[in-house]
Amino acid sequence: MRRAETALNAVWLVGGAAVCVHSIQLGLIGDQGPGSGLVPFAAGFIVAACGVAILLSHGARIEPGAAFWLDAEGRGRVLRLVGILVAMLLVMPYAGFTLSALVSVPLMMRAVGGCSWLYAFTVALAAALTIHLVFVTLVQTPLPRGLVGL
Amino acid sequence: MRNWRRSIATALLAVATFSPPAHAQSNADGKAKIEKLKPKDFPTQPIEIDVVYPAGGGMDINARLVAKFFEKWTGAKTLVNNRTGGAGLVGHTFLASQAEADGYTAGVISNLMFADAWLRQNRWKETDLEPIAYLNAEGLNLVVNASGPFKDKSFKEILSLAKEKPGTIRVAVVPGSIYEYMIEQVEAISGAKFLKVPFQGGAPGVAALLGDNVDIANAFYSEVRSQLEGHRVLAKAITSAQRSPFAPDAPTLNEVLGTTDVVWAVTRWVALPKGVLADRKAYLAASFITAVRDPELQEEFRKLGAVPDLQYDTPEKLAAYITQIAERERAFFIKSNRLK
Amino acid sequence: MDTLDGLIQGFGVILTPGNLYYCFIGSLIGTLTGVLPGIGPLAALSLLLPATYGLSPVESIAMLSAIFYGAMYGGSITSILVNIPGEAASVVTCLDGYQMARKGRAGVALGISAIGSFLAGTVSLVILTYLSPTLAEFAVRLGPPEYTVLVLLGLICTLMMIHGSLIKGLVMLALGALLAAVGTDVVTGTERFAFGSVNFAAGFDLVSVVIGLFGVSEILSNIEETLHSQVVTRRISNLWPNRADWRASWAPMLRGTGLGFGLGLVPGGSPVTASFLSYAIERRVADKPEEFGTGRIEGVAGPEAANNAAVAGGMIPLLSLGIPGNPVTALLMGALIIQGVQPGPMFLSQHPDVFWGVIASMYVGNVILLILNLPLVGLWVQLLRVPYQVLFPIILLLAMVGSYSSNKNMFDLWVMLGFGVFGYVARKFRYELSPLVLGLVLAPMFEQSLRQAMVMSPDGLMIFINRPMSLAVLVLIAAIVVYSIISRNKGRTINEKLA
Repeated sequence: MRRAETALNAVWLVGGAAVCVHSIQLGLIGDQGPGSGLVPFAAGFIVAACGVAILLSHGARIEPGAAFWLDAEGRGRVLRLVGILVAMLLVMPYAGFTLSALVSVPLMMRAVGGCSWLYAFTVALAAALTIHLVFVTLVQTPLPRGLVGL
Repeated sequence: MRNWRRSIATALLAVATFSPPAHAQSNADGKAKIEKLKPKDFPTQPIEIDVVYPAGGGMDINARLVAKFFEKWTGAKTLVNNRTGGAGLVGHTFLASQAEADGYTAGVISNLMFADAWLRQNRWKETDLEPIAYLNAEGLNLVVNASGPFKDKSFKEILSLAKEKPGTIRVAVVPGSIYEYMIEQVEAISGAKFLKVPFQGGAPGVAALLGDNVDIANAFYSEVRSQLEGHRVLAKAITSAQRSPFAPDAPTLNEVLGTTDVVWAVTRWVALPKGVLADRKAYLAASFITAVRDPELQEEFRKLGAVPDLQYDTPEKLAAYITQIAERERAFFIKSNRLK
Repeated sequence: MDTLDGLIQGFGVILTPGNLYYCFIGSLIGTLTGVLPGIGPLAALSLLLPATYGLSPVESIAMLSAIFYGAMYGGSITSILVNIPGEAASVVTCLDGYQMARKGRAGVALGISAIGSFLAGTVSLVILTYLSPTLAEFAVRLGPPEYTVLVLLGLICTLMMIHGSLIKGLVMLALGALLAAVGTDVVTGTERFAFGSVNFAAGFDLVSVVIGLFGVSEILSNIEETLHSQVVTRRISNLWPNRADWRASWAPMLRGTGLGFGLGLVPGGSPVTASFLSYAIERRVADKPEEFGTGRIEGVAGPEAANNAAVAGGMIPLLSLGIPGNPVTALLMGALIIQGVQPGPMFLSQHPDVFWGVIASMYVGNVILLILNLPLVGLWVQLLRVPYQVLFPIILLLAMVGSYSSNKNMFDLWVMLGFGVFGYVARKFRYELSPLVLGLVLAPMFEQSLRQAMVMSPDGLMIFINRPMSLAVLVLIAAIVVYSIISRNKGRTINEKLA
């Protein structure tokens, strides 16, 4: 994880510097005081400076030997869940909220741990229906509606 | 929880059926016209009325009132949505470029849209939003603290003071909107020079005025009504074309400056995304116009400080009027170097 | 009219079946709003505003305001039980409240949270009843220079609440400030860091960021560990605070009440800032600050009191001067206007029944909420028994509903997911998440006030020294900074200090 952390601090340094440059373009001092870029410049500078400081400070860094992922299974679960969520959001404008939920929730539950498809679908159906009933029908919250209108 | 929804529906229905007969007469032809224009199987789901500003604000209140009366006259259901963000930019962009032009989405917008269309993006134009029904207009009230140094001065005197001592009189403005443009134009014409302190809306400016942190605030009537009635502030000028009935002693900008085209009001209307089918568009136009003609709604508008106007009763007349307003603003933007 | 007479009249108004019913409904919905992640009071109020048109002014405002402070009661429930904040003002309750739950003290945390909320709500209402006009006058005198230094004080306090590495906390604070800068510059109207996208030009929605940063990342972290370990740690030992808990909590509650009330009073202040600052202060004055984050009850009692007191404080400028200080009170103002009631200096004289009815409804609402929340502690705690496998998808769905409901924009859902992943990675690298939220909230306030003050000032930075209140706060800041440096320097190596 040490290398990852070094990379992260490099991101802070480079990112902060980029923000500073962009802020200068926005203008540090306007005609009547601070310009658009002053506060972002300060913030970007702090990020960059801290990025360097973390690298130099012994105590702030993660202890050596620590790993990013707890174990391979954990990594699998997290990546699968994120993937499903991304797919769900991509599909939602077309499929609508309720339908997307009906499809995604069983996938999520299965991706994360052992449970039967039946169990997963039942939970998904109950959850999606309840949310639809309460929020869409009763309270009339606007939710993404797909091509089917759900 | 379902009970109160039903009781509200019943209450609204009761209100609808109890409209005085005389008024029902003058708008009865409106209702018949709506029925005649109703296309087959439209609408089958609620019509979304988008407001580009947050719930509870002036535009939102106007929109919800319009929605209520629209439902009363058509029996169709509506859903008021606040699509906020970017001081209106997100909502305008949605209506102009992302909303389906199927008649199920309408927007309550205003001339504040022009700045977004011309100055802030290139994706859509103001012609992507087709006006169908005029709602009302209201001007900004320029107010001073009733216990401050300007309480006895007329606006003309304030202008000459601002000319003698430029940059000392503090005015609350909202950058990038008609608050700012209006003051700029006043300065350009009169030679006065104010110190423009930026705020996010009219109400924070009024708060600052009460605390003597600015000398003049600009606000719509609903933002300043209680302070006017409570004699905490005094209205010194109004930016609309006519004087306001709530501050009859406050002259219009045109009166003070001796001009005829310095008008900075918020004009509100209902618009549809371009490309809605002609029959649906006609139906919606007739419905909204009939709703607006309801004397009850007009009274509600007036209570809010907004002035209804029945002369723009077809989409064509409205479009022509809006083009006029657009041209005036465009001229100002070009003159102030915001637009080429 | 004598204040007490007015109040009694108000109780007469509210204690009718109709008004009481709506007060109750509002309290119930408010609690649910607080519990449901992503749906905060603003979203709930926007959704329910149309439903109030058929109601009388008192019914309408009683219900809506009950939703507002009800959410402050309910928000702590999910924070404590599943480490996911119900809304932005409950984020800090996650820090120690969840740790208390892990030690089996969920009931205690919930109990103290409800009681602290009730005490704060009621005490601040009493202050509101008697001192509202005076306080309102005081609040408006505060101008941009005062706001600037007050927010600066808040930012300094933020640094005091950082558990781990100070530098990493500083990075998150600065990142929060940068994220807030994405959007439209309020002072000049120009776009910053928008790169041509309309969505970026609108800026990031706070609710989506918070629910993603804390809620989604928490779920991702939990998913990574095996699911079985979740059930084991969720033991429930006691449901009621013991004497030691009371002794530890009463002072934080008082401080939280005062702080929250003051912060709510100042326009721009909100329950969110109140809760964060209360946490920072409790950590500062406690005997063993390093224990914060492991389950100190002060970290729950103070912030929960503060966010409730901030609601009452926020009502003061609205009721007395007709000036809404935050989006929620702005919405309440809209609701009143639609009812034909204009809040402000004439409110009391024009509609005394509505004025006192609303105030009385808030007293009653606090009682209703205490009743709703306390006995139900046992019930809420049962939530822990739901298998996580079922719980987390439901939380995610509800979070999506909440995020989407503010702006009806898919972009907010992407923001939620994006910050979820970011928060997850940040946790891995031992970065604290709270400073980012504070930077996101406080930095724009600081920037706007600073620039307003500079515009107003005839002699530049001197305005901060020329105005007495601003000067006083600057002196306070200097004192705090000096004290902090001295106490940190006592017997600490440089590495320990920065780590």
